[in-house]
Amino acid sequence: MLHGATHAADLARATMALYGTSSLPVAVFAGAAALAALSRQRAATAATTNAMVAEREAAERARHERGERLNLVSRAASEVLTELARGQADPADPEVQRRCVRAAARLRRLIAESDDVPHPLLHELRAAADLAERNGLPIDLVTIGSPPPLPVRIRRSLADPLTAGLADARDWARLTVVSSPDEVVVSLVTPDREGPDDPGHPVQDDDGQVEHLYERDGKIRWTQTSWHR
Amino acid sequence: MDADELAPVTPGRPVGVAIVDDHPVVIDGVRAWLATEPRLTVLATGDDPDEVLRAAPQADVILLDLRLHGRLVLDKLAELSSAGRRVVVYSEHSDPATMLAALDAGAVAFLAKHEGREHCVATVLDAASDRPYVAPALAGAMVGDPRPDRPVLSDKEREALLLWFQSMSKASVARRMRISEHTVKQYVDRARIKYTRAGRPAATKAALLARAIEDGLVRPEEIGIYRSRASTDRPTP
Repeated sequence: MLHGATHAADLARATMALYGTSSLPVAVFAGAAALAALSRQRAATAATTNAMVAEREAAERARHERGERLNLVSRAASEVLTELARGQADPADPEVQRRCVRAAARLRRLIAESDDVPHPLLHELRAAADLAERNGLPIDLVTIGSPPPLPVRIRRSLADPLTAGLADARDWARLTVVSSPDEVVVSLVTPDREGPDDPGHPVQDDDGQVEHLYERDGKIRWTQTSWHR
Repeated sequence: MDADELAPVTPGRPVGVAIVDDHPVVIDGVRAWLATEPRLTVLATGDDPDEVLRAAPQADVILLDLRLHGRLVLDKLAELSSAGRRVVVYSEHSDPATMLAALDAGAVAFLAKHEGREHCVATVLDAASDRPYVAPALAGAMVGDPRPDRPVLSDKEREALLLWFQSMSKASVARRMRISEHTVKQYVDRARIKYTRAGRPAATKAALLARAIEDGLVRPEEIGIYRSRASTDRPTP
């Protein structure tokens, strides 16, 4: 009986000692874990919010840019159409025809842009196309599929030879982008003419991930860059 | 429906064309393009497919604007195609999904509106003989087809489609691929023929396929192989 009592008292003491030494660390650990989880959740929420804000801002910016371009294009198109309707412009005049072709190409390009937030690669190519267009070059820019996220280096290797060729183009240009999750192929075709090769050629190939082809055959100059996963 | 229901085009007589568009200025433009070709004659024009066909039931080829009065008329296209009407769709809606939907619905060919001047006459003539004509915009849509049940194209067919889409010059594609222009066209056309197996069956698709076999463009056993693959295909909406 005495032995049993001692035993019970020992057990109680031992329990108390265990409780005394462990309760604080356990509480601290639980508290820390809860705080960590909470902060992770907050961080994720903040990141999502930031991403949404960034996405919205990019979309707003893209919309705004398109609005401005639409104004510009509509003005150019309605001017030439008004002149034609009033008989001030002669449809047989090559300059009038060029103006029509330019206005139509710009409108077509605007209509074809259906993405809310352009992929950086498309954004870069469109910016280059805009620049060339302002210098009076009619451009077809056709994109098929949407490119996967690409490292900046690969994006540069894909776009740079084309933007260089575009700056040098005369008469017309056709820029195409065909993308799938594993492949992006960009191509620029412009009429060939006398003179040296495009400044975009040759481009050093960085670790063979982006292939760059350039050729001219007397009729067209053809620059193609492609990336395969 | 089968291919026999397509009225054969009588040799020696010009191909009869009907133009359906809700913009008179476009009708005038298309008429002007077609007028350069003596083998073609425009029989009727208008903005309602049914009325135009009532006026010219013997039309061999219908040029159809895909958007009539603000609505995409894919259902009308499917109805005409399954009734054995050869429809060449032309549209300013040249996004890949719309073009592929038009092929699925049974269109013999698809022309983006800005391709009209160069490709309209050739497309209509080929359509009248149930032969494929793939203009660059459509080649792009086919090579970038993201659908899981898309037809399986060979590497050469894909390459020819891609380069044709990029350059719009078969001569340049031929040089790049080191083959003849004729072979480039064959690769492109074979890819197009494989699309006759996508989507719902239509009399026009059967006719394209039958003519391709007759011309030796595809062999029946290739179609056999293809059919076994396509048997799990579901029609795309």
